[in-house]
Amino acid sequence: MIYFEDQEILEELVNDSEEHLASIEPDLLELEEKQAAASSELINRIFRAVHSIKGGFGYFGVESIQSLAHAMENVLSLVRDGAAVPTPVMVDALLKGVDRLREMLADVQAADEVDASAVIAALEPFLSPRTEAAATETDTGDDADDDDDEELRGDETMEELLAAAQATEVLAREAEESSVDDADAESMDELSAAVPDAASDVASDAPPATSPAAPPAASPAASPAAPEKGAENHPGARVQGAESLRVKVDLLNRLMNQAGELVLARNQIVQLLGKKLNETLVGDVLIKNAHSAVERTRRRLQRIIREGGVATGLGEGGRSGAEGVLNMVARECDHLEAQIAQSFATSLSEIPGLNSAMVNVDSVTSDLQENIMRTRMQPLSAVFGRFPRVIRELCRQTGKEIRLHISGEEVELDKSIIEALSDPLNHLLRNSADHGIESPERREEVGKSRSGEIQIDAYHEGGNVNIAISDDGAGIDLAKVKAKALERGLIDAETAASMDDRDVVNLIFAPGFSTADRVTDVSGRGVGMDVVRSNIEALGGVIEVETRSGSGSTFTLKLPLTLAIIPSLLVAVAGRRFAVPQVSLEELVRVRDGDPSRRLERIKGADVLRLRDRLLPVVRLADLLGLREASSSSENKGRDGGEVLQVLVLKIGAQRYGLVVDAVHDSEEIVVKPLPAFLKEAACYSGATILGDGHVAMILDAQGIATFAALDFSGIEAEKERVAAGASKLESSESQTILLFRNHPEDLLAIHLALVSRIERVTREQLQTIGGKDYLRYPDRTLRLVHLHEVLPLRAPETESDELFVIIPKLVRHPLGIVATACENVLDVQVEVDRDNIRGPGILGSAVIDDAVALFIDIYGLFEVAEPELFHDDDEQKNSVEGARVLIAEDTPFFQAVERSYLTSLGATVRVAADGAEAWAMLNEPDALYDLLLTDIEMPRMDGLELIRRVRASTRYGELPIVALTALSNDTIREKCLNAGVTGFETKLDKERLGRVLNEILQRRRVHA
Amino acid sequence: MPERQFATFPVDDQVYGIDVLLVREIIRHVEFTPVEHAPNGVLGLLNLRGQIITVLDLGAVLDVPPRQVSPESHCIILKTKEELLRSAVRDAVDDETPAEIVGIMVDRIADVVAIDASCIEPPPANARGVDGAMLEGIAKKDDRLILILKMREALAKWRASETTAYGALIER
Repeated sequence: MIYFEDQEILEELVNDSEEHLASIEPDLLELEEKQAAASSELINRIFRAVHSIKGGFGYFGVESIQSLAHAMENVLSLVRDGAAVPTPVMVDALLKGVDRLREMLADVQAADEVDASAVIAALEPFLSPRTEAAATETDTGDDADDDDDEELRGDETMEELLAAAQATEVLAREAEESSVDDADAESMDELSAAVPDAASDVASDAPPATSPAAPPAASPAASPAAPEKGAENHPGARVQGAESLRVKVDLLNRLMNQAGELVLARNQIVQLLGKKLNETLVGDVLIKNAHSAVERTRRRLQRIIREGGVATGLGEGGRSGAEGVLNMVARECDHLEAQIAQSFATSLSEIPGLNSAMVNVDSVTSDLQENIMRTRMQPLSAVFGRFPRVIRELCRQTGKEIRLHISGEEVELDKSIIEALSDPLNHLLRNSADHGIESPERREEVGKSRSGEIQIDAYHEGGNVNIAISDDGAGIDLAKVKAKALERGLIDAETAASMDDRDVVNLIFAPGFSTADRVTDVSGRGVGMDVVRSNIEALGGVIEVETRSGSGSTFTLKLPLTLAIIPSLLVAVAGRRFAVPQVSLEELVRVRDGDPSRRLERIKGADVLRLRDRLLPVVRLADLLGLREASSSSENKGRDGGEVLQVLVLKIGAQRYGLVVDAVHDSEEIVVKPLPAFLKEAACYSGATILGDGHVAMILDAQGIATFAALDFSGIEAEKERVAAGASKLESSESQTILLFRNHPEDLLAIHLALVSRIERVTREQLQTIGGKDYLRYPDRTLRLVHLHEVLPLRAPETESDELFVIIPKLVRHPLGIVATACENVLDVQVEVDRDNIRGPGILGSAVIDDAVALFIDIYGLFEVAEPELFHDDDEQKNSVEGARVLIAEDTPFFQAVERSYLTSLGATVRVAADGAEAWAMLNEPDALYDLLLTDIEMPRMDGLELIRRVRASTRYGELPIVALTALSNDTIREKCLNAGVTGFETKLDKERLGRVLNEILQRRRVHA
Repeated sequence: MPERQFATFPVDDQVYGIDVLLVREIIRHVEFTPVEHAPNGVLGLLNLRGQIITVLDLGAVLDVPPRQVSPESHCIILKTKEELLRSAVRDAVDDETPAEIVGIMVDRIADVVAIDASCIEPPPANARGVDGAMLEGIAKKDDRLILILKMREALAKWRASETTAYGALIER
């Protein structure tokens, strides 16, 4: 048992040493790679890091660490002095030392119990002449004459180093004694600063013949071991060192919690303030009421005095007496009024200042929280740093050749996530190396380079961090996966037959699944992918896999930045509120009676939701939690009296299910509090939170609910296939998702949902008028708004409602917000846009939806009318597209209309074919003349691919530019199209891009012509 | 002999006491959020100045009929393990002491009484209505008998029975 006097210094030392080890490892790998060509800077860096570990623990008398570090240092000093050439064997031995040191550091108190003798013994051959040959395997050995000298010098160096280390100890001790108060950081700095100095002294004292190539004393390397030393040469480095400070994680955690509580307190104050504001407004009205009541009473009294006095025949004395009484009453009234006014005056006068103060508190709180959160952020390099070593070991064990590329190691995540990521990422990496990358021989057979590539990329996307691990190996053998899953009884034959590729590949995440033909000690026995997934999901993340047969796989993790605060949606059941994390929420669906595109059905005794073409299992939250009475509340009646159900579509991996709730409230950023131990068994919750009004709400767990409700996904998938097979061709043809909204209450307007980025609910106060135009204000920018009635021949809203919706489109370069007074519904329908009845700039046409006529808005046209100056450069495009003869092959009437309208607006002459066969016939008309073919892919009779192939094969149209359009961009389809010979491949509805692309293509063609 | 102070509260026709050194605070008008699927005896969760507290039913803890929550109900918030370790009663802490904050709902709260430690007699093997193992002793004060509760034992016993019951439920 070791007794440590100063626990804090020791902790610092352990932390420092762990950092050193983290830097030594990649440096050693580099040393191995470069061998004799390694720079002296590199060698010195390794040497100093090991040396400062040795010095530090020597000071504390931890002999095991000291002697191991010492042995490593001796070997390194030979390398540094040029007396030994680093070989893979040597680096291996050194790496084993690093491992053992790490083990010792993990529990310093027990460090001496770790046996390092084998590791030290492995290092010794490099020092002793007897096994020189073994030690310098790859060495030519022509400096054998020098060996004895080298040996000797090595010993000398060792002794001097020991002396230096002792000097360091004295220095450190002095440093500590001289400043007891801040002994922790300062003395350690001096300690580590002193180490390289001492070391370099030794080195320069050593015989000059040893190493002219290694000038350690003057080494400019600002290694982590020598912050002060480095600082002398790089003033910048010093500043950096002084600006960071080590803080206990525990303290950060507490700060984090307190910041969370501050946020809650702020929310509460804001809410109370809102209430107060209402009260004040009420007070204002009361005062006015009181004032007018008093005034009325006074007038009435005066009249009574004037008239009543006369009528009752009172004498002068009586009248003045009554007058006195009544005046008194009047005065009382005045007094009362003053009192009421005063009682509200305080709060009234408080409000303006209070409000601005609250705004301050609000922003400071948010900043504080964010910054504290930032203190917990760590770069991913903390995890990625070990990977080169992992791959190196793997290559050795498996005989594979793998090159690892890492990008985005600077991306930061919350410490707790970083820590929890280490195992799953390691597993995925090993998996890619072991199962993904083929052996060099196999790779050569299939025409790949001998060495495989594994690429790890970390990057921000939205509010998440994504980590992708890709390999260029064989990809996942889906047939094998399916066979294995059948064999293991994970799926039955019926299910297997109905699974698509995506479902099959996700089987690898099923518990107890393995695709490895053999059990290896590299990636384990295949237990683990399910664990990987559950680990990632426990972090609030998602894992996805994509595989390309023969060319590799990509695993993508989507992770939240932090665990502590998450965006969520508040829902209610039986008056009780629950929070649903946005990350598990796919979509929000209102199910109304009689809507064919989304309805609840019962299949095999279980509720299912038919949503578009999918069948999803459904759980009623009220039933699940035993809050039954709520399910048929009258709130759930739609406008037409039919029952409306609110269904949250939740996702777990690739699976989806519906959760029926009574009501959906707002989105809220919630502070996640862990579940109390007493509730750990309750599977349906992942935590609890405190809402703005101070009440506690439970956070629902998508996975837990599915497990608790024993949802059966497989049966439904099979049923889906059966239904799909039985359905007529007509039903399976394309339908569109349409957003219905209103500006004037009687004008039903429609827009394709694929064109909508998002819809925001705003109040009129949030609008600002500048130069006659309305803008929506965001904290950091403004968005120009368009009122439809100002631009299009539509009616203005009848009443100035306070609540408005702003529809924000996507796929446009200059987005403008479209103002709506009501958002009606989102529907999946097959629509036929009629362009003849109603048309004009900004309007696509009209269509009958649910027995009502809806006007389809053409966003591009609309914006061109609203803001012509933003779109003036479109004129350039017209030059080439104008006059072009374009044939459109498109089976969906809606898209026919949209595409026709786009192209006509650009000046093209357009003909439309309803499918590939018709298009082919039109192309073959004797006098047909086209400049461009625009074709859909999925079409009846003849699909786009076939059409493209025929066109390319024909002599007449071999050169005709063809642009394929798809609703969904998909790599497979894209590849197929490109193989078939398309000129371009574009997404439907992105008019601007399409315009540019057509322009380019046609311009090129004109040049050729 | 030193004097000890006990917060007392009636349960049916008995008066119980709990050492005030174990108590963090006592609150009334408790607005807790009920939690479904919670073990029997957990009434719900309470927000106490930003901390989430598990509210337990005294009835469940003492293995007597459940209490009815009324306007008179009070919640006795117990100190956590960490708080106790910092206090004078660190000896009362063991592995069973909850690390989290727990509140216990009682029908109403009576006085805090001071009792000379020498006046606390060992409990009978089975006191009326409650398991003797949950009692530290019985004290007589102004002709009233006060049953001094060993909160830690009571909680541990309740927890053990609930976990088993819940475990069995899961198994099924």
